[in-house]
Amino acid sequence: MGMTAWLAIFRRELADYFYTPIAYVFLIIFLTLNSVLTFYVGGFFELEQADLTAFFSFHPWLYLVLAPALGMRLWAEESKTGTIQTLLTLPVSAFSAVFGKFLASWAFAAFALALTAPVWITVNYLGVPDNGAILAGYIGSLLMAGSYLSISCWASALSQNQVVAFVLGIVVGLFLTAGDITLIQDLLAPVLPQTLLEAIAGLSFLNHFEQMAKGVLTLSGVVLFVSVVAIFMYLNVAAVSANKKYAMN
Amino acid sequence: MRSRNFQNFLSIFGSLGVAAILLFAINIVSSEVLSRFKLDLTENRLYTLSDRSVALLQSLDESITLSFFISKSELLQISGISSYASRVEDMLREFERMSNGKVSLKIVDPRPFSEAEDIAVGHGLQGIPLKSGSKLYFGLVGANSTDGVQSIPHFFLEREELLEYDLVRLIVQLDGRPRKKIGLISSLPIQGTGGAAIGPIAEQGPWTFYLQMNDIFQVEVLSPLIDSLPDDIETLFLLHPRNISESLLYEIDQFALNGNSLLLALDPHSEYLAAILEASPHLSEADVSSDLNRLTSQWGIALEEGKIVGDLPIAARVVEANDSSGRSIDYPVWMNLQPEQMNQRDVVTARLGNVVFATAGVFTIRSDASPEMTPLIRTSASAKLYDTSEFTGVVSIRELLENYQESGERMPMAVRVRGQAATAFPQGNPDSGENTPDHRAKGDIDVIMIADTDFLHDRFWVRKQQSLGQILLFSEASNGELINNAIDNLSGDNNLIGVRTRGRASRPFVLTQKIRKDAERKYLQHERKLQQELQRIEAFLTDFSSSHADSSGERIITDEQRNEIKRIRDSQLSIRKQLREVQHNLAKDIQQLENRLIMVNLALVPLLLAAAGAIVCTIGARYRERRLALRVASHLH
Repeated sequence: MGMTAWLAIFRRELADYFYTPIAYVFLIIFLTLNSVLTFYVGGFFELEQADLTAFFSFHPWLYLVLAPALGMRLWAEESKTGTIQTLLTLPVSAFSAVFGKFLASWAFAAFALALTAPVWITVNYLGVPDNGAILAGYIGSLLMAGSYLSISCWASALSQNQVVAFVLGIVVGLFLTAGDITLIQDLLAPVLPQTLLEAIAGLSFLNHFEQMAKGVLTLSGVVLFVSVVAIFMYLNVAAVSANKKYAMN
Repeated sequence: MRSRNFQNFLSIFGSLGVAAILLFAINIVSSEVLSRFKLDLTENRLYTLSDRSVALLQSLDESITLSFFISKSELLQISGISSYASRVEDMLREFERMSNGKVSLKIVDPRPFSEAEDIAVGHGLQGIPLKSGSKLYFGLVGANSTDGVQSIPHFFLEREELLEYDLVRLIVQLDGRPRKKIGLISSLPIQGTGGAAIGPIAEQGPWTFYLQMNDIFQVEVLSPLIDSLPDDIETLFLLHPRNISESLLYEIDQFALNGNSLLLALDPHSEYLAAILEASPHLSEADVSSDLNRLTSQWGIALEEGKIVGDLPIAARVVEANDSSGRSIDYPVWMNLQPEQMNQRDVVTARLGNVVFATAGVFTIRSDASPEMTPLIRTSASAKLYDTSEFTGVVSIRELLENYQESGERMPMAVRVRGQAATAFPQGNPDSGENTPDHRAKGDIDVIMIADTDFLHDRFWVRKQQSLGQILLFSEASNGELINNAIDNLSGDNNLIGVRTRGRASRPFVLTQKIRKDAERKYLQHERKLQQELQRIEAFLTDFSSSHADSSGERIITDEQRNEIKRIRDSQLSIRKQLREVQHNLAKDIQQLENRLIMVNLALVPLLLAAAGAIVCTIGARYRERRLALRVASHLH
């Protein structure tokens, strides 16, 4: 088992997603919300502009709330059903387990994103959009989804309770999403020094993703999303390893 | 148990803290070091420094210092500004990098009451007052080695798309290259009328395109009454030339044949002059149109006299002055020209955004013309020509649209004329009446001709907005770019062109517009007939009631006549109802399209998913149960 362990876990988890009704509920909610927000709140038909900036502008908020829903069952459910004991005593490294599960959630999110293709087709049907910019937006959205999912996977590994995992995922995600808006800055200002405030603002997913939605894949944006994934996967592995040791004993 | 939970909690908190620090560290470093690496996937590479900018920066003569005044500590107080500020800083650093050392960048934080703030204010930078009481500075001051100073007082977020152009222009101005001298002869008051209103036109400041021209070139405005052109001019711009004497025309003819460049903006109907005609005793009907056919027909090209072109598919939408419904309608002679109408291979019009022409004309080109004729702007094949007589007095747009017959050919409205041409004065100088020794009979000409002058008026492309005591100019069309590109190109300098034109500003719903126009064509005729019918009935009723009164004012009507009137009133109501239906129908088709699209997006995929999900889950559940049972079974054995 070694290198291919994570592949086996990835396959199993991905299949599990498709066999659970909740995944379809998630997909339907994600797609419906995307459409409703784009057409009714984003003023797509009123503006009569053939671009998807309205569509992409809602993605960070959608992921903030829905990614925890995707990730929370990955570990928390195992704890509840007891299968986590089985998993942890198998000769599978914590890293394989974490990586396999995370990748499965990310693949599923990619599938959900792919299902939004009708909107892309619609905008090409109505006019002549900048498809290069839209492609950049989709790539950025996928990377960003990975970031949110890595947070929720970690949150899920920390708690046996799915609700706690869900809430934790949202709270941490919120700080990374919109660190530069005045609400958050004012909230944190009395507690944190200026340098930290600026650092949090610099991490803002909204800002970096906005650039990508306009058509520019910035290296600093890509580094941000990838570093979030790496760091939270590391934390996830640490949490699972601790549990593993406990389970082994 | 308790201590384990507490240990867990501590380690979670601790690891989160470490993670946060790592995250901050990595990303602070990356935003400092990696900020310039990016992949610009937009169609027109909007967010990458253009090749022209890079070329310009690499060929600078002057050493230029850029001082970027930015109140870093206050940036977070206004949403959206801090990311724009970092983009501006990124671009400035890129300028510095590309300039081979000619441009140096200083970043200054003008803290309140500091010397830096004094310097900023001294250069005209404006601090935006913030809630906290302090001020936000976000501007640029550039200086060259000879005390030349240019500044951008504040970087407005709305001008983000023009950031590169604004910065390059500032640098070009500081570079101290001798600005090219352009001669300008105009019968339109582009320098402004000194504040006086004329007729219905109140706006009398200098025209914006003229101000932009002055930024880049040294413009010498020449009177149309001169007899000879200054020697140091190599590019001449004739704008709506009227009453040009034969002597001056000869000068211009020779000027062109001697290899100097010429820009002609002509017009079969100047909206501006037509509007002020009544209030201007010195103008006559003839002044409303201009052409230089006396000269240009010799080259093989002429402005079609007395004809105005209309192009329905690209017509601008207006609200007719006397239309109470306030509904917008296509006005075919005001055209919103799209990239499809522009020559994408010529540097002047390639990647130009939309341009608005108003009551423009077309050129006819002789097939055996000797200079090379390159159309720069052409109508669509659905254009048609109107007589200028249809535009004197009050114009009925509906009449213009009725029985619109497409000509089927694309007519040129802007043409580049280059190559060998012959003089229009074969007898030589008209003054001296004989061939003078330096008279040129032939030469290589370099001319651009445009069949409209109204596109240069602010009204068709500039929107003004007051902000912080400044008047911000927003261009809603690329008219200014077109004329400045043409002058740049004719004066031999193509550098700013590549920076200026960045392609489409707007990407409208082409399909929706087409449906709207088709529907209007269908229904408008019907509407007009109904309205005529209605008017007839109303006239009849008024006549009837007035002619059937006797001397005492009472009306005498027979039963038959009463019935007749009732019938007529009924048809009047029915026609009004039909009219409302027609107007309703105009919007219906578009609404239907939108509804269909929403249905597909909102309902189709989710429904398919729900169906798929139901199937997969029920089958799958049973399948997995069996597999699990098998696995458990194998375990037990």
